[in-house]
Amino acid sequence: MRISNRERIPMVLRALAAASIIAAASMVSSANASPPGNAAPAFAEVSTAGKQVSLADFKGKTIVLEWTNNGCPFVQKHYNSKNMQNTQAAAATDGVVWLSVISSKPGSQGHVSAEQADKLTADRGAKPTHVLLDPDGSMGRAYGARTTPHMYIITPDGKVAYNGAIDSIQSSKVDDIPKAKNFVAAALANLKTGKAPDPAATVPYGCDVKY
Amino acid sequence: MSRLAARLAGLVVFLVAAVGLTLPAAAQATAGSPHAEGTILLERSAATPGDSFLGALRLKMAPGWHVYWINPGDSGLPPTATWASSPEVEAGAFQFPTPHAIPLATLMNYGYEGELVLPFEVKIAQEAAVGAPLTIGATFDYLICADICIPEAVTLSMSLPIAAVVSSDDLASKIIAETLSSIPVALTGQAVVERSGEMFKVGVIDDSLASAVASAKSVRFFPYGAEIFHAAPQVVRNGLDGVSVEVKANTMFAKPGDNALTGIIGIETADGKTRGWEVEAAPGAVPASVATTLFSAVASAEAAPILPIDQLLVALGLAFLGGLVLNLMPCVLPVLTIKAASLVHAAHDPKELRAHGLAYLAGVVLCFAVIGAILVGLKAAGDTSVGLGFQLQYSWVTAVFALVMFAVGLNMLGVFEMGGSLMGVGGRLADRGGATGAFFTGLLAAFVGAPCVGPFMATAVGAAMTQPPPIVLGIFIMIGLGLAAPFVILSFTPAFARVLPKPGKWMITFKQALSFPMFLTALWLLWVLSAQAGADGVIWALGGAIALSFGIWLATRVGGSAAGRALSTAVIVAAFAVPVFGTISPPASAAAVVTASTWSPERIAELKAEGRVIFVDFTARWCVTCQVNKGAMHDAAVQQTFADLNVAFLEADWTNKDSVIFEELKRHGAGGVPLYLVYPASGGEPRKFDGLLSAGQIQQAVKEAAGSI
Repeated sequence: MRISNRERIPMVLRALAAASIIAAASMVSSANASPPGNAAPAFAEVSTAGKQVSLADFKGKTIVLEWTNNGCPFVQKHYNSKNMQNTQAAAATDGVVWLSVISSKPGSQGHVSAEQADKLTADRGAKPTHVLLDPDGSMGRAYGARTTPHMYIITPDGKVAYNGAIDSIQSSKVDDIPKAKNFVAAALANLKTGKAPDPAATVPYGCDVKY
Repeated sequence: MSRLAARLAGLVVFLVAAVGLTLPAAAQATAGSPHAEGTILLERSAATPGDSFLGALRLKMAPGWHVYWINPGDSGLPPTATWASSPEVEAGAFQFPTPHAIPLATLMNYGYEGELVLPFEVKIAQEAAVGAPLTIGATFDYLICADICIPEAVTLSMSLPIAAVVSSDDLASKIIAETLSSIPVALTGQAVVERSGEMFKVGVIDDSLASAVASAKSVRFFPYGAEIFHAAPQVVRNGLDGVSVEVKANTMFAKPGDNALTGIIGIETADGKTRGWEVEAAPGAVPASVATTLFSAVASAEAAPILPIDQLLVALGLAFLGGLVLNLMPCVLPVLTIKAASLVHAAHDPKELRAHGLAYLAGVVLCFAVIGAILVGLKAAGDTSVGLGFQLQYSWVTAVFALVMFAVGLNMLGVFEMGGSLMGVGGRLADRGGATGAFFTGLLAAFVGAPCVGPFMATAVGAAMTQPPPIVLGIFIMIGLGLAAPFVILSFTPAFARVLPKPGKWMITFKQALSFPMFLTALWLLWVLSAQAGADGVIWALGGAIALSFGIWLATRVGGSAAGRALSTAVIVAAFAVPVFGTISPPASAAAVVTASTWSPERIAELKAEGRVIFVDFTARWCVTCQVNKGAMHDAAVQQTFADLNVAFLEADWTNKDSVIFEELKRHGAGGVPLYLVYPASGGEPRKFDGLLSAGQIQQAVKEAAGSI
């Protein structure tokens, strides 16, 4: 007999080396955006009530996702002025589900326990349906959330309808709120009358999400 | 930098600013905010009516903090000014210098760290009266961020004398002039952009850019808008006529048909300064003359100074020493036992011993040269994340090497013989087989040894990686020479043979004993594999090991005939293919968007009450058909259909005894698994499937169940 794998292996090695270059070259980082019209990425995160909350739970309802971080000055702008609470309350009146999402990693700004999150909600008079805790950032990355705040609206059939900023003036100043167009309120109003949000995609502004 | 340190530094900046205020002011006004010190600079210490000149806001930021470019990237805001000057003073918009890319986790910002000088134009009205000083002032708002973001502001104001003749502030003029070199310039050439689906390729033809890029540290396209993913890697190429950048489109803002792109091409020079070229790219073909070479290759060869000869010799010497000590590292030692065995075997024949030594040397050096060449190649291709030991970062390579080690172990144990010796073919062939074996041993030692080099001589190799390719290769070859040296020296030392006991039966025992370090190495590689590819990967590799043993056994039985050789060779090749196939295809669950939850009769009742379509997978680990069908269920299109139709995906795992599952199987007339049930949304009895399923069948079934067909 003649087992020839000794001779063959260097050749195999060379083939492997060539293949490894190709494999390495094809490794490019992917980026998510969740543009309007796309199916909303599925998620299942634990709420501050300790319950698993998933996209499928709200089939048939309009959902607003709000990325938030209580230490971020841009979030404070919209909470101190009650702009966010008012938008939430108006949405709730129309039966819209409002999910506030915290994607700050442990130890970073905005990372809070369930109790702290509930206290923040109570203290600020906020009206989210649930506050979701996403400390590993999986939900944030799936949606491509960039800033706090970063807002999404999902239609009852599970499609992204709006993705972007809370309003039209990119600043950290409360004074700008009355002058700005509230994109989320406008999009919800459009959806209510069966029209598509306009604009459906804007550039969000704020602090970076603390992944 | 820690937050505390950043705060302390901020305090220092503030104190310096406070002291600055008490000094006699030249044409500037300074104030501090918690993390920055702001100053107004003017080119003039006295202006004339109708004069126009440049002013600037200078921000000195605390270490670790940054402010933003006009397009901040994924988050942030650019600085703004709210002017409060005399009516005769008109200040223009900020002229933003070319920014730096500031990565933050998975996001990307564009901005400035350290010191920023933001120029603006100042015009003095003709009506201004000589002798009556004017005020220039503003509140400058800026979002300043480290790991957290704070909106800060400084309110600055200064008095500008109006005289019959201008007098300049030389210091302020110099600082403003320096920043002007960083302000993006208009192109003298032209810019084009090609859009292919999700990629933009921007081509810029410009002589000044082409020559600047040749000595640049980095090149990047900074968009004015949101058309690209800021954090996506950019592939930069350059040529005689300019530069090209490929970048991923953000299709949310760059709709199909949006084929123009505006922004700047920014470069970072060797001294850390930035320069920019304004780009208004119209749709058009990118000429080849701006994309002949990958930029990073040019930069690494030209930007890093070549080591002076004495340091180069030191680096080469260190590399040799590193290779030498590598012989003692735990990952190489087992492989060297192969060498030890063959050395003992050949020790009686000085000629054969020398041949072995040289073949071993060739194997080691070749392997290190190839590793070096691949690293150089990967670096040239823009992958800066590769280091020594990268080869074992691919799970299938790890799996293949576990099998190689296993085979070597079997060989040393005497399960089979290599080359022609078992056939009793002439001595010359056996010699050749021995030399080939030595060569292979060398390759193997280098391959498994290279990951150990990393921590051991990281600095030397690190320095090598900034050098041109020939020096990188030289360093790697020196490591190889060092690794091979002890055995080569022994091979050429006749005295060595005399200290060894006479050849005899003990050699076989010795060789067999050395097979166990081989098996241990295989075990170590499987352990590595378990971290890379999980339990499934290890199972695939063990499956490969069995196939390999079978092939070897087949060869010892039927290897005499040509057909037998072909058959056994095919089995052995297949044995290596098994773990490669098994570990290279990503685990199916990674792609799954709808993961199965556990089945129970109660859960079915609940879901039926909700009016959802339910797909139940009755399965077991030991059921092969079930595993094949898993592939169809994890098909991306099926998963998407599941997600779209909000299908409840349940799994009843019958791997272990379970009477509830068995009752359910029997109820549906099935004696075992697989069984698939699809419950319609409208309620009622489920549809049954068994045997092999296709992705199309599953989609069809759930769509029918959802009533959407």
